[in-house]
Amino acid sequence: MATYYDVLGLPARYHVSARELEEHYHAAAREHHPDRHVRDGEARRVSSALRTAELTEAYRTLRDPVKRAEYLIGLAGIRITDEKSGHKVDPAFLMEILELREELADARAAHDEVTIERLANDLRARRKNAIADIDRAFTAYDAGDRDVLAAIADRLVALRYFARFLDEVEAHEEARAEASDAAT
Amino acid sequence: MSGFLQISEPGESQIKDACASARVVGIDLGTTNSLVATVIGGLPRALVVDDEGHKLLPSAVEYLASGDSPIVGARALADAPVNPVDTIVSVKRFMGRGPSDTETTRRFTPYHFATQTGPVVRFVVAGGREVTPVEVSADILRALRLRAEAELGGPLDGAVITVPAYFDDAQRQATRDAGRIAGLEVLRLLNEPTAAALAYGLDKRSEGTFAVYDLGGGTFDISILKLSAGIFEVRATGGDTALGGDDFDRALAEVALKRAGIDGGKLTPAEQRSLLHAARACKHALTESHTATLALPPGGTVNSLDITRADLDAAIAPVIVRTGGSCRRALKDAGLTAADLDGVILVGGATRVPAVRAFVREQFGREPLGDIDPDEVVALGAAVQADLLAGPGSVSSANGEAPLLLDVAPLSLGLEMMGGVVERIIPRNSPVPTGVKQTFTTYADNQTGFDLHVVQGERETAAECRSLARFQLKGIPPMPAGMARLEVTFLVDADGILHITAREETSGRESSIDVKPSYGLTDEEVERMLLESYEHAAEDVRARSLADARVEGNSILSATRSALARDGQSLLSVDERAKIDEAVNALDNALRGEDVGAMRRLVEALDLASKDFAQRRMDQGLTRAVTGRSVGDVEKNLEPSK
Repeated sequence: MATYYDVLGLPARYHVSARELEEHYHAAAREHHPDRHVRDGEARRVSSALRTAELTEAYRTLRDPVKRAEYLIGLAGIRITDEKSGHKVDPAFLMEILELREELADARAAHDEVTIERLANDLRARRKNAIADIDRAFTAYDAGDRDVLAAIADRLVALRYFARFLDEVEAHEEARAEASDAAT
Repeated sequence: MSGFLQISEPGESQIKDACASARVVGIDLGTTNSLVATVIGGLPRALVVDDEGHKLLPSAVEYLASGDSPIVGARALADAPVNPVDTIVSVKRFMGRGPSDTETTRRFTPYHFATQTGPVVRFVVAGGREVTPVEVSADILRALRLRAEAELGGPLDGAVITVPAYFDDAQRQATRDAGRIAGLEVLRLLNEPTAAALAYGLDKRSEGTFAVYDLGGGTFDISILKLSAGIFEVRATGGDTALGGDDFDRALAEVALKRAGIDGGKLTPAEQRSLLHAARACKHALTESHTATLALPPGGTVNSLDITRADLDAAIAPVIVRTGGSCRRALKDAGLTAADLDGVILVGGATRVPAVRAFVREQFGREPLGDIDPDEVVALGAAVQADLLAGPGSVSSANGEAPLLLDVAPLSLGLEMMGGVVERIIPRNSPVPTGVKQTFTTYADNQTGFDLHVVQGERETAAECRSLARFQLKGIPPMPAGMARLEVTFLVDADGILHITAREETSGRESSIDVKPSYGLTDEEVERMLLESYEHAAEDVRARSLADARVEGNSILSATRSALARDGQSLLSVDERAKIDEAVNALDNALRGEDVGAMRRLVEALDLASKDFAQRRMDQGLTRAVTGRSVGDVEKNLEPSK
């Protein structure tokens, strides 16, 4: 089966620049996009739509460093959403996240913006570090070290929890912005 | 055909030549006004839509008790205050909406709605006839089609119709259906802000990241696009399909009623429509001046009020701020901040309101770009896209390649799971076409079918999202529970419309799917409307042959006139000249009338009267060619008529 990398005509490596991805996406889109095949027969039109759907899915996944990492370890047989092949989450980490979310909920209820911002900044920093860890681990992986996959999976699981936390922060920020819009 | 056309002067037959390959147009089907445009000589141009030379056709349709073809455009709009129930304006706000939609119960909506309607809104108009928003839109599109065919000299080969980027599946499908009923081949539905960016980007040769803030009569869109090397890539889009200049008018009307002590709930439909018209006129006046008068319906303490711009600003502020959230979210979805943008493009008539410009300036921290016609730009972009789709187009980007639009799906697509929770299968702002495959397994022995409920929107529960359709997958071979595996492919096409196919994995059989759209018309209903529109077919033929005759007559007229101006003196005697002039005047008069037969006769008469003249010009051209002028010159002269 063709991988997303095959679809974009790129080697299956984590380290790929946004620019390179975009160039390959654009070049393939110029050829396959349905706008280029409006006057073709039904079969060609359908296949161009399906081909482009595959292409956009590949681009959407690979341009995001986190989704790209998830996809790559998936190619190696590890799915972080699948408990069988996946990977146990450290209970201490889960406990910590749970406490942080409680702290966030309390701060929101108390309109304690200082605490919310501190928590958000802390989580954003941890997210940044986790992505940097993944980046380094893939350098080792590309050099032939298969053992780093478990560490990558571990960081990806953590990132999912960070993302959920930061979604809540963003919902809060958006609600505040709307309230301030309405007030003016 | 007249001899003149064969040696026509540069410029005259340009319109016809440009369309020699394919006669395609772009249509901006707007809430307040609609436009049709085409590419001529590599440049998009809006076509005139009436005999007064206007390019904007008011999107108003007046249905007549006689059952004749409805009146569309400025006349219908002018009639709206006296005939408010039969004259549908701003029908776009009803596209793809259900009969219990808030749009139908909004204050100052002076229509009669049918009570037993199924999943679509129906207006009850003159003679008890029921029309759907799709049919009303089709009447507007038909008027544009006939006009474009008259201007371009023949039937259209296809059209690109624009829709708000934030239109959902039902609204898009409704627009496509309207195009079909109007006799158009809809090549593509194009998002309005993307169309605007295409026209703007090509015209200004701009590259970079732009926000398009599009506030029309009834809908709001914000799109973030990156323009580079001929690729127009939408990064994120957002909006509100029930927010626009109409809401400014309502807000202003409410303020005026309150101040004059009039109970808005007691206004007749005619008074409601008059009031909205007055509010709109007042709003327009306040774009330039700081005070304006608003005429009021009877029953209050005064007949009219003086409204200041500050009054208007205060009345519409709550409407304008509703665009802010969409702007912030679109920027965030694109992974950008306002500072990363290279420019903000304003589109839509409502962006002329000073308070809107001020809001955009504040929201994006910069002055919006001013070098753009906010009314025409969407239609121009649609014309370019139509030209590209009909290919090989005559429009190219700075790097010489044909431009390509990469757009996105505005809303997330999800499936209703157990307990009414939504599982997202395609996130918003995915580039289109986009698709996913999902595998489902049977949960009961010998289960032969599945029900899937597809919803569109960003909320967590199906009840809070907009229902798109219920799909029944059938024809699974009887097997023990969990054995049959059904692979379902969800594909959102380049028009932003969802298609579903399903295959049973173990047998490899395609499963049949019954689609029950939650809103919108069934295929049978569209078919019926198509047939009914043939009732008007005789009239269409008449209108079309009238249009054809006018086009032919006018081109002969202008060819003759310019030939006379150039060679009349040297090649004709006074008598000969007088005869041709007489034939020219007779044809000119006939073309102002409606008599197709007379037009045809007088075209022939002019042809005959000017036959010798044409021959002499041809001879003279040949003599010139062999005596001294270079072959290159002659070829250049002939070029436009190739």
